[in-house]
Amino acid sequence: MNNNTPTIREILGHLDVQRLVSQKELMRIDESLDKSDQTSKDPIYMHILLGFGAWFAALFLISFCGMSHIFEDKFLTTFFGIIFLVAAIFITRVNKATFFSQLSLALAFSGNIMVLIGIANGFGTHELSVIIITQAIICVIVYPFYDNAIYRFLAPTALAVLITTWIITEKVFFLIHALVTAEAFLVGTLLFYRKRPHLLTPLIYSSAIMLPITLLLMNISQVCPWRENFDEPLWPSSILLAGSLIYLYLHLAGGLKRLNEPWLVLAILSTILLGFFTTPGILVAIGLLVAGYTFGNRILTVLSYLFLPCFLIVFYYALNIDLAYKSWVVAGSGVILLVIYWIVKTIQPEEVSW
Amino acid sequence: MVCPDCNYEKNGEDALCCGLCGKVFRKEKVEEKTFHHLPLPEVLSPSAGDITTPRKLLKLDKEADIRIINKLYQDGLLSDDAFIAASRILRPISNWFLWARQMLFIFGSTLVLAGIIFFFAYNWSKMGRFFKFGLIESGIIVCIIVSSVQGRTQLVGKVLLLCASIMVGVLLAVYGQIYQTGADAFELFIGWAILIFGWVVISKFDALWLLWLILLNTGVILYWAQVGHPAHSISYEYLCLAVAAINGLALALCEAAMLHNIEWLRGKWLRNILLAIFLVVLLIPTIHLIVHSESAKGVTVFTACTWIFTIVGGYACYRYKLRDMVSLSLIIGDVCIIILTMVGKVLFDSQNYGRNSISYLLFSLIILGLVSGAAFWLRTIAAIMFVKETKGTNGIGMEEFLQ
Repeated sequence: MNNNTPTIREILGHLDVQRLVSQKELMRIDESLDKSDQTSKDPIYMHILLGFGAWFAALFLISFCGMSHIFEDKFLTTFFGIIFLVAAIFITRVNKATFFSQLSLALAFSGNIMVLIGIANGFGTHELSVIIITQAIICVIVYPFYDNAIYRFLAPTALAVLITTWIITEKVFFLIHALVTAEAFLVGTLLFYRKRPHLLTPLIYSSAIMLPITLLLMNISQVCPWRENFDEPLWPSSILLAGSLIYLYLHLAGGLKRLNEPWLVLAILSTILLGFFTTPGILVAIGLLVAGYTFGNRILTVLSYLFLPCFLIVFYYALNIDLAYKSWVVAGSGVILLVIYWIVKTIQPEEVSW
Repeated sequence: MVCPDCNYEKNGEDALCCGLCGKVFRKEKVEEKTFHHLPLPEVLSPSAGDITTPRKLLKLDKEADIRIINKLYQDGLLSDDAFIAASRILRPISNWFLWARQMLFIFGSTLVLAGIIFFFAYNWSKMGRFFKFGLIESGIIVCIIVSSVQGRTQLVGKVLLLCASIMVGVLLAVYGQIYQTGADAFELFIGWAILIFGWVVISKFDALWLLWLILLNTGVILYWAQVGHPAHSISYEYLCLAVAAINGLALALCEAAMLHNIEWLRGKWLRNILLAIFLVVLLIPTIHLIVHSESAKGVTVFTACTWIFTIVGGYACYRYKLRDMVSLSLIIGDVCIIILTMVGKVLFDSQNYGRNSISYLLFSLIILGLVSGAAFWLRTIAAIMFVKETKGTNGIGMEEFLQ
């Protein structure tokens, strides 16, 4: 243990905290820490391994169903899809062993896909809107009952991907702002939701990854082979995201009563400036970074680090915006951030080297 | 007393914590009465060495972390005021300033650099060639001078050196754009890597080393794609071996540096990236050997042998010597892919491929079984490693842990 880091005992025993925490609350904290240790969660690499394993198993399971001529009948496809989903829920409630949890995940993946195929065939159409509504219904029904973090993360993410694809293929580009609004609202609500049920945790990560995915897909759609002419101005999304960031700062600072703090005024003014000037991708990267640091969440921080270069690469190839204008927007945003850096360095109470 | 975290120098010699960032100094010397002004509740009473209350000792003596405080708040165990007070102790305002400055500088520099690249890619015809060269070269010179002034041990200095290194690539690209040299792209990347090598060596910056390795890898891959492959003179196995050699050597140097406690190479992210590349490039010819064994050449067999050696050596190293679960999971994941390829080959080659649907069901179950086994194995190793690491600090035995 690092001798310079205080322990929980020291934090709770600190004069500023101790008077605000009752004896009863301390006992509950002790119990909670004990409980959270007993229900130790798998690290992210384990989720990735298990997720990939179940996904590939699901592909072969679907191939098996396809070769068994199940897909020739739309009702049979839907029926088996539902059976698979129910079986997945049942298995995970009966047995928590790794193999059975993997089996249930593979069944859930394949069941979900088979229901989508069956419903799409049932309507005699491959309209994306039908698939989106079906996926939304599956998500709403299965999410609360199926206790698997990987499925709970992937199913809503898939829904966001489908909606973005629909907006692009149907060329209803103005709806992208509504989608960005919904995603920002969802991630904000979930992050600040107190006494959040455990089952909503995967949805936080799902909603956090939805915004980057939406923006990346939006830009990729203008590159080969789609080359959709995305002629919708992006400023509504930028302003909305800037507003969300300002809300985040205010919440972190402790409300409007802290508006007299110079650093808060600086953060708000610079975000307003960025909102009018920059592109939504940069604001999303900043938002994820701030949220990651605030909540001590490394996944959000890493997501932000990964998203920024990916966004810049995709943005470079986007054909709907002139390269000179892109250069102006990106470099200008960088200059704004560097100017804020210089101001922060100036107003910081004491000089600190790093 | 100088704070080891923020280098604040104005702390008194007997300071309990840093006056700027709040880091607690010499915790073992902090007296009970100094830290706790109010009568202590039972759960907060000192329990070090009290073997009758091991549960309390274990839970409350954990390092405090903003995630734990956040979780307690989210679970409704801390009031708004208590949460704010605890957060301020863990993360004083000066910590926020430090973080904000770092991130503003990193993000700002990245965006300005990206803007410069976009601008020169636009190839503005009204701008003369000398003006273009002048701008880029001035940028490089300014970055180097400011980096030297700030000092290469500071983050600002390191990031500016990285910016200068990237701008060398922009300079080469603009040179090719203006003079239409007709040179292959691999020459640009190799030349770029050679030109910035000196800065990379003196930088002591892992991100710049990664950039250099990316340039080298890209140069080698493009050489194969533009020269070796079209002329049929170099088979892809040699490319895989070359890329594996570059990244394997870098990984070995990285591990050696870590063993010698070199501060700037302590982050494990570089290790994981290098290991992942190393394993993937050796995996491709090994899969080829399994799937198309009849067309395999001597070099394919050699690459597969290298893969086996890497897996065995890597497992022993990261299991017993360096103890890193992410690296172990990469190795075990790699082994799973090879086993599944072999099983798939046996299963689908021996059956009537188009008609036997049972093979697909069976293969699906085999994937589940293998991945579950791998996950079980990894969890067991992680538990053993955890016990070994904690045994020295709080004396929990394996049996206690498993209970």
